[in-house]
Amino acid sequence: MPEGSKTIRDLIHEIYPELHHLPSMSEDMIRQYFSQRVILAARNIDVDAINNSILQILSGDSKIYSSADSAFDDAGAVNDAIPNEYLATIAVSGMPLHDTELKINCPIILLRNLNPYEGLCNGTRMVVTAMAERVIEARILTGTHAGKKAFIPRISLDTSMSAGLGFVLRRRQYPIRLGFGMSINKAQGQSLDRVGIYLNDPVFAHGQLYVALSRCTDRYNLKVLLPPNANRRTSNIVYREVFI
Amino acid sequence: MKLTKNMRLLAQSERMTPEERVRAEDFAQWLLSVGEGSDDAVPLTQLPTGTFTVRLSTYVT
Repeated sequence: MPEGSKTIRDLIHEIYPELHHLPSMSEDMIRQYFSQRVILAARNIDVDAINNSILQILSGDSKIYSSADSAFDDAGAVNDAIPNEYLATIAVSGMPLHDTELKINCPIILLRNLNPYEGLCNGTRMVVTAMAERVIEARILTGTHAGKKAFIPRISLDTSMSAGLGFVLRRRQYPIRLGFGMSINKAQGQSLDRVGIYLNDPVFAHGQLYVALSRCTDRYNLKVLLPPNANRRTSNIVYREVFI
Repeated sequence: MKLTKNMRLLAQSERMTPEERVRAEDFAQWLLSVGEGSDDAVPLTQLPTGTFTVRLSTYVT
């Protein structure tokens, strides 16, 4: 590896330094630590990989929550022909994973509106404070409800027909994903002090690069990881026709 | 009507030092040019000077 070339590990350390100190921090400090930082990537597959590698760095025991999956056809009848082993591998955006691995103090992001009046909306970021068999306790990171604790139950989530599976996947799982990293699209509207952007796969949609770069409130805390031979360049997709 | 101020970056501008304000304004301007697609490949080297904290072959701040 040429000198000076950086890897995803370097990006993780830039954005999430001193993760091993978390257990000695107060709940409020942990909430503040995670409320101000995130790593963005264009594709969900990269986001999942980033989330998993950071979860392994976090100290503490992990717990794996597996979902109950079933398949239905358009008319709503159960489709037994599809093996559960296959259903478990399906990862669709907006749906939790079949195996959701969590640790105390890991950040998560809600995937459904659970209770908008209490600040539990699709996209709300939280940090896990307790993990029981049938419920997760977490604390809201940002916004007017920051600091509030809430219980997250498992709920049944259906994929839409537009997911392109050819059937409806019903998954009973906590409506969450890990929140160390998130997709650029999901980050729209957030403001963060410290932002890492993983662009091994460049952006693929109009205005995505702008959304990613503009999440950050200070350019000194904006870190971009590009492929080694990218020569400090990445593609930007803008259709000028949309500007009239 | 026209929007003229990047509130994410400059909402606190009253409390910034002159250097901080220039830095935030430069960054806001650069973000606008990214949003307009001023170049097909955005040269990240065009980030205002002084933004790099690490070696640049793969990594830009």
